[in-house]
Amino acid sequence: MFTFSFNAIGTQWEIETYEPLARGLQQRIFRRIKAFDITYSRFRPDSLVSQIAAAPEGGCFDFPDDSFALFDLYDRLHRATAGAVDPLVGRDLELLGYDRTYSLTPASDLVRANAHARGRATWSKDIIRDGTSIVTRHPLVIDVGAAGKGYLVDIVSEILREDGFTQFVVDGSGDIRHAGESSLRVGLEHPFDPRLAIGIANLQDRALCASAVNKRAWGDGLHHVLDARTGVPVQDVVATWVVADTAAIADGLATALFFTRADHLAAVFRFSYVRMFADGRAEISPNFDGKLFS
Amino acid sequence: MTRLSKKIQVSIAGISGALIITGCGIVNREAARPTSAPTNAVTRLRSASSPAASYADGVYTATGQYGGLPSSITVTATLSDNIITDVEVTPHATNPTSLDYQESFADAVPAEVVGRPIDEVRVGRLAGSSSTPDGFNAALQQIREQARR
Repeated sequence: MFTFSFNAIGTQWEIETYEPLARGLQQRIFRRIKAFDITYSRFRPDSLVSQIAAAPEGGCFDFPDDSFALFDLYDRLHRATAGAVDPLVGRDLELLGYDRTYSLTPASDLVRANAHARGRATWSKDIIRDGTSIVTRHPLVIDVGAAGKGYLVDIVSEILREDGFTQFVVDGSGDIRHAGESSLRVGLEHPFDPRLAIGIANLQDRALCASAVNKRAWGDGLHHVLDARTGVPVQDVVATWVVADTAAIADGLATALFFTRADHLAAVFRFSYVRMFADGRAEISPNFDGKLFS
Repeated sequence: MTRLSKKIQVSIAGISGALIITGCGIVNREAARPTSAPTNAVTRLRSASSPAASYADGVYTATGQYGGLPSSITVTATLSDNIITDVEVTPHATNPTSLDYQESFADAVPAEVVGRPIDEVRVGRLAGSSSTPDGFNAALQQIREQARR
């Protein structure tokens, strides 16, 4: 096995293959990830989403072709979670301190109240999307954190496939896409102790994505999984793992499961899952290929 | 209030897209992109109206099929001054597969879990809490250091 490791979009990536990746292919992957980052990163002042956030009167913004599938998925997630998953949660993340400078300092209650004085901006009402174009009327902070990294894992996997690779693992720090005949054993890391696993998953020709509230926590009750309807971090569910056909769907559902019952999501998406609650209990869907330790 | 109720095979993105785009006056753009299902009803609605035309206020309902399963979904949109002011979505699992999924998920009863040391559990990969963005970790480290002083 060859492992190609690198840092991108602020996180650690590993690609495992039976043949080493040619230098040209590595460069192609880097360029593709950079192009994605320049479009979607709200941490880059030069990104397209930063332009949208800075446009006082809004405007019409053309996204690249890859946005069609991503925004389409967000449409479905937004509906299936009755608005809990919403890319416009970006403004609330900033207000709580998860901002470009990583201030990790929540804004005062007054500032937060003023920011929503005209009502909370929502993906269904404040964004007009026409395919890959987005029309806004005021500054909006788009955050594709719920499904963006998974989607990028899919994009990188597709580049490998185009280059002839049929067996590989793309691991974007816990967002994992597997291709090949032999399944991969993945440990489900304990949300409160990274030295422990609460179970395992057997992954084959699918994607597994994990989300945990402590992953990006910066204070008492402050972390990155927000209910977009209230702008407040969720408390009951502490970690989720989802297996689906694509990493984008698995990633998005790993977030959605913090707010929405699995059977509701199952009306719209095909997946299996594990989710753990604050009281130390966990649920596993009967179709999950793996087990929990008890 | 006008009330339209149509059972049509139409993509949800197509519905809201077409209505809203006309609402902001961007009419030259092709609103309905190719999707898995034909957008006949919306197209008819659009071609029947002049570019400057506006839609009557009211509550519009449409049921559409989507996804690879497929499943159906009912969308109710409230239109006021050419702007959608409210959207309500009701998913229906009509497909047996979806129903199976929904029923099997309903069986998942939470049980106490016990963590096992990772080196005792032979795994190829890990998924969970350690996946943290670098910038975030660095910032957290700074805060911890400041707090220590």
